[in-house]
Order: sequence, then structure tokens, then C-alpha cells
Amino acid sequence: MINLEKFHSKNNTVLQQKYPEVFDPKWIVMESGWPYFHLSALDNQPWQDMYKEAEALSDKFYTHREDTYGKGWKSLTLHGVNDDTQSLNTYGDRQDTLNQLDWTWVANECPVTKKFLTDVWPAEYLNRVRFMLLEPGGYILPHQDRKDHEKRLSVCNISLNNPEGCNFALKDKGRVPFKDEGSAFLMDISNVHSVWNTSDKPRIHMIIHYELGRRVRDFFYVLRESYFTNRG
Amino acid sequence: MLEISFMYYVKVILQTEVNMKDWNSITVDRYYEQLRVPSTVAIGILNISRDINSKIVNKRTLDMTYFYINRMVKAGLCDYLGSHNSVKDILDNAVQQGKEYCMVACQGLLLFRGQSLIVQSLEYAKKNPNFFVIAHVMDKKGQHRFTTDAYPGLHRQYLFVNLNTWNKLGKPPFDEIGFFWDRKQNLKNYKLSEETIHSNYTPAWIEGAEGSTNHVITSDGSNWIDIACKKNIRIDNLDNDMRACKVFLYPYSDTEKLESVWYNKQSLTVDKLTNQAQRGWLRKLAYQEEIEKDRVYAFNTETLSGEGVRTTKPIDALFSAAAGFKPLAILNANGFHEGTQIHYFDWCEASLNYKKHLLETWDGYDLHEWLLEHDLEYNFSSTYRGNYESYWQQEVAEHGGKEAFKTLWDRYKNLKHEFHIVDIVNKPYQLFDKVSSVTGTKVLWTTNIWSSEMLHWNIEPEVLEEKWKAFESLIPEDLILYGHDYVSVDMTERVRNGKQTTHPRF
Repeated sequence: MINLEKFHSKNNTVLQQKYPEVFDPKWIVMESGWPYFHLSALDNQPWQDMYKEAEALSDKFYTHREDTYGKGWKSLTLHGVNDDTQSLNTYGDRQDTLNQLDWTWVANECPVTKKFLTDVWPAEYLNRVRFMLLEPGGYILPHQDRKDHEKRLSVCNISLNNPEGCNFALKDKGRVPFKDEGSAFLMDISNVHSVWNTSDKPRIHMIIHYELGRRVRDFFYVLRESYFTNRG
Repeated sequence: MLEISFMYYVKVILQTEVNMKDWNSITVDRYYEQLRVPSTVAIGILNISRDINSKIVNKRTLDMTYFYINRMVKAGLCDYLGSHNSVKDILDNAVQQGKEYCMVACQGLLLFRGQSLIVQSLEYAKKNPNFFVIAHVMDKKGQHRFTTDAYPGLHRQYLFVNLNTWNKLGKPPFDEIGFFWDRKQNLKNYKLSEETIHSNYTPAWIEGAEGSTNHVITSDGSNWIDIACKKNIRIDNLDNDMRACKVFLYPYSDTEKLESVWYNKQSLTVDKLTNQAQRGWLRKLAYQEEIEKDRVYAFNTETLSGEGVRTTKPIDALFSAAAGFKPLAILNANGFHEGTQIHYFDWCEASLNYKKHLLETWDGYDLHEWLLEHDLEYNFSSTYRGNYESYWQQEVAEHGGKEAFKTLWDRYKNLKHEFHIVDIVNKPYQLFDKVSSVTGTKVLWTTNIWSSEMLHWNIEPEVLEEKWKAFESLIPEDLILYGHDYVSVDMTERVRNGKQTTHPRF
């Protein structure tokens, strides 16, 4: 716990990125080294309705990584192999696994969320999409999901809520400014990161693993609009 | 017979291409008069509004893409299918209308020589009856750091599709650029021509090769290339003659600057446009706008007598734009007498001065020599500057020969001529005050003032339509009309015969 406190107190500042004059999507995603990127173009999505959908299923969530580096951390899969989908590489041949991916019963219970994923989210293919719940007092110990050389913005982490006192911290990169009213961020999960919910409310995020496919332009325009909004 | 006629028309157009320098001054008629081909071609606008981050650029590029298409439609060369968000929707629509070929013009494509492009494309189709598509074949490898190692594609700015082949290939959609890491695309290997069109990424053609390879990055239209390669269909790139018929404004690129210079063409910001096509086009328009202030049209770019006779009595008063010899053709066709008055109107004083000068000093023979002598006194249109003699010979031929023209000119120059500086778009009442001040058989010829390129670039069609309606409301019932309205419809058709067409709303 002391280590957790130390990690979060050391990485508790929101650092400002310097935005170049010219918008270059490849640079942003692959070369900038930015730990996260706020998709502010999506700020007006019905995040709170999605939160309500997820919260209504809170008793259906599966305990997540309790035996390794999580406490009070739970997940529920909307799109995957089943409603408790783990890393896709753990199911054998990846191509076979990709062919099995589909909506789970959870998506049917969450029409607003599903509509966002089918109509708004700018990617042709969804891989695994999960709600991630962190109980009050719960935490995720510092860890990294990709190797150092896999540095790039990849998964999308969306706060459906983010109560005061719940912080997502990245080693040497500061705190991610998730909003309680909802916000979407592309994340570089090769950075060591940790979450600690010191509030008295459960925190629910949604994490999207995706493949752009033929919706590169849609993604590009979300990125561009966000870039110029963020830059101010 | 049809075939012979078609080839004759092709020859005419190719010859015309050699003669003309300033294609943008060509409007709808004169040099395409005989270019009627069976309307087997449909044309639709590929709407890419999603990609354009400016309401003004979005709206105006749609307006201007339609503007040039409308010319092609009015020339009887194709039918318009509307604006659609996908290539497939446009092609499906064309098939439903029973067309053989379909042009897909991306929003922002300016087909300023669209008529010629259709003729060239049909000629290509005749030589290559089983072709699938003529397009900008792009070998994206090495073209841009964003698309390194991409499978080749077809630039979406322009496609000319053989609908029969598209149908046989299963009506494939036109895929957009794609990035794949888990689901790599297995696509047919290909061979590119060694010959290129203008850069190392524009091969003259692409065709299939043995085997297939997984690809992480695909381009717009990669799936069409893959399908064509699998079926042993070669796709040819547009050649330079075809490319010279159009310009693409890349409205999604440098959009903010493009918006800022759209109505401000003389701005130094034009030079800061990073896209070469935008910069070149805006510079050209800026130059054109500047020289049009005192530009003089010694010859007309529209038909002399295509509209035929429109009066039952000889003309008593002709109100005419001060351009070329069309007024003589109208007088000659309808008849006139010694007391006929000619009222020239133009917003350009130089045009009026030229007319005065010509009437006072020219004897009706060998105009090219008179023009050469006075070449530096007037800003003659570059369309024929330097080619005066050939244009003069065409003029003489259309008037029935040298002596016939001379006789007509002698009668004409002895009429009463008056000159008025009038802007008929913004101050039409100045013209109609004059019209109402005379009696008898009165004729008005406005040429293509209402449907000119610069006017449509500078004024939105919605605004222009209102100005046109104000003009139209002042037209007296007894005035005989020649010329076009703001959407290139013959004024008589519109005002007298009720053809009240409008423009599409974007």
C-alpha cells in the first residue's frame, strides 16, 4: 500500500503536451511518445446513459486479476469470446479466436453502449470490449500491458464515470485527466500504470480493443477534431 | 454513319484542343456544337462532406463540382445522378437508369473541360470494350509516409466506370483506405507499367501477376484493383490529355486557408496554400479575375445561330452584350432594317470601346489583320490571341463567306449604335430602363453572363438565383430573348416556355 501511495503521489500531476502546428496522425499515434490522447471529439457522447447500463449489471461482473495485481477490480465483456473474455492470445490460434468474436448478452442489455460501438466508434472491427469496474477502495497495482518497444497509442479507455479520488496514474507521465461525466482517451499501455479508487463510489470504464480496417478516415477525423480542440 | 460522325467529332475536338489556349473561357456551346453523342453516360457527385472541416468549402465545392457537370448535361453529353456518399450508390443509380458508363466526380472536382473528357473516355471505351475503370492508379508505396507499403489504389477524385464490367464483377463497393493488423488483406499480386504518367507513383497501368500477398495497408479502391487483377483486367491510368480536362481541389487539405481565399483570390494567402492543385487553380482564377476587368472578346465562344429565328418581324432594337459577332448573326437570322438600333451593354468599358473602334475603323475584310494591328491596345481573350486568322476564317465560313460577311458588316455598321456600361447581374434595371425607352420589335442577347464560371465561383447559386429572379421580373413580355439563365437554360425556354429549373441544394 505504501508503494501504491508513493506511485500515485509521485505521478499525480496532469502534464500538458506540446501540440505541433501541423496535425500528423501517424506521428501522434506512433511517434509522439504521448502517454494518452484525449478524444475530445467524443465528449458529447451519452456516457452517463452508458454508465447507467453498466451499473445496472454490476452484480454480473467477474472478478479481475484479484490473484495478481488487482483488488476490487471487475470486468464484463460486451464483445468478445464470451462475457468474461481474457487476452485473445490465451485462446489458442489468434485467427480462430478472431473469427469467434461476437456480441455477448451484455451488449443486448446495453443498447446505448452498443449503438455507440456500432455507429460512432470509428473502427471497422471490434476485438475485445469490456466494462471495467473498480470498487471503492479498489486498486490496480503498477503494471504494463505492452513491452517498452511497443510504444504507441492503441486501446481506447473511456471513463463512463470517474469519481473524485479515483486516479489513473502513469509512471513519469502523470495523471490521466479522465472526467467524471465521461471522456475517451487513447492510451499507450506500454507505460507502467496504476489505478486507485479512493472514493466511495464504484468507477466504471469501458476499454475498446479494435482494428481500424476500412474506417481509417473516420478515425482520422475524430483524431483531427480532437487535436485542434485539445490544442485550443 | 454514326461511327463516321463520332470520329469526325473526335477530330473536331482534338483539333480544337490544339487551337485553344484558354480552356476556361469556353462555356457550353460553340466548339462543341456538333459533339452530341448518345447519352450513355451518367455522372454523379461523390459527396465527401464528412472529410471537409469547413461549411463554406464544403458547400462551395459541391456547388462548383455541380456547375461544371451542369454544363456537360446542358451540352447533352450525360445525365446527372445527384450527390451520394458512396461510389456504389452512384453506380447502382446509373445501372437503374440503363446507362453504359458512369463518371464519378468527387466533390471538389472541377471538370472545366468535362465535355472533352467524356469524348476521350468514350473513345477509350470504344477501343477497350471490356475495360472496368479508368482512374488515377496510385502506387502508394513511397508516395507518402502514411501509406508506405500500401497496396495500390485508385484516387477517388475521378472514376470512369464500365457498368457492364462492374456488373459482371459482382457490383463491388469501392473500399476506402484501410489499416489491418489482425485481419491482413490477402490481395492478388500485381505488375505496374514501367511507363509512368507524371510521377513514380502514377504508373500508366496495373495488371495481375502470379500469387497473392497479405497486406497491412490498403488504399482507396484497392479492392477494385485486386478484383481486376484476379480477372486479368488491366486498369489504365488517365493519360495527360484526360488529366488536363479537370482539376481536383482537395477540399479536405489546407481547408482553412482554402476557405479564406475562396472569395479573396488576390490575397497573398493563396501563395501559402500547401496543396499545389489548390494554389494553381486559385492563382489562375485570380489572374483571370484581374484580366477580365478589361478583357475583350473578339469572337464568341457560343453558337452563332443555333437558336434560330425568334421574331416574326425584322428587329427594331437589339440589346446586346459587346462580344464577338453574335449580334450580327441574330440580326441576319431575324432580319433588320436601316432604322434598327443596336444598344451594347457591358460592365467592361474596354469591350464597349473595342466595339466603337471596330465600327469606326474596320472595313469588314481580314479581321485578323485589324486585330494584329491593334493587338496591344486591347486585352483580347487568350483563347484566340495568336490564332486570329483561324478563328476569323471560321467566323467568315459560318457567315456564308467573305463577301457575305462584308455585305452584312456594311449594313450593320451604318446602323445606330449606342453604348451603355451596365452590370446586368447587380443593376438590371439600368438595362431594362433602356429597353422600355424604345418601341417595336426588341431583342435581348445576354450571352453566358448568368452562367459564367467566375460569377458562380464568386456568388453562391442561392444568391445568384435571387438576382436572376430580380432580373427576370423586369423582362417585358414583348422582349425576344437570347442567352442563358443562371443554370444555363436558354432564356426563351425558361421565361417564355416555363422551363423554370433550379439548381440542386447542397
